[in-house]
Amino acid sequence: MNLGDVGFIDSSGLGVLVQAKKQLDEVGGEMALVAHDGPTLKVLAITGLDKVFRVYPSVEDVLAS
Amino acid sequence: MSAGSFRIEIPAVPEHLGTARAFVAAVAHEVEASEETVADLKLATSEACTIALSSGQPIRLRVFPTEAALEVRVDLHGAGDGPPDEDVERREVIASLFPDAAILTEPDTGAVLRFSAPLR
Repeated sequence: MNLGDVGFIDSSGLGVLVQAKKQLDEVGGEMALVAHDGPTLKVLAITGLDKVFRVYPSVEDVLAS
Repeated sequence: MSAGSFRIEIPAVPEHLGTARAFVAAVAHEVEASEETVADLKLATSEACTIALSSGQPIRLRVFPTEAALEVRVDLHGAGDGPPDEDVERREVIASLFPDAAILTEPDTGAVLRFSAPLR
């Protein structure tokens, strides 16, 4: 999920991402986040979700992982 | 500088939370808050107003800028009295950003979620 162009995200938005990850986990899928914006990275860190999601600075980094 | 106070009341629907964030950001810019502070205020405001949404009543938001800080107060109208887990998490997010965050009781308003951002 590329959050690079997301101007703002709060707990409500993060909740949607967590639900999507759970659904993907149930079918053996994987989900990574692309985020490089300071506020987005900060809210991921505050909520501890930076430990739940794999977070990359760019799509290229995801593909290279 | 004392810039007086600012207030806004928005309908209790999620679609208007962006208006609340924009309002607080505008006042924060007015008092020359840093971009990081503005971003933190927008996030905390969004979380606070989301808690207040469950009251179903219009959300009143007040901002009090002073020389040293910008204080935000959101009327809860009873929301958050017996908060679901999500509201607890939202309050934790606000407290992470602004450690002085607290729920106060105002004589005419009732429970109010308050937090303030240092400006200097």
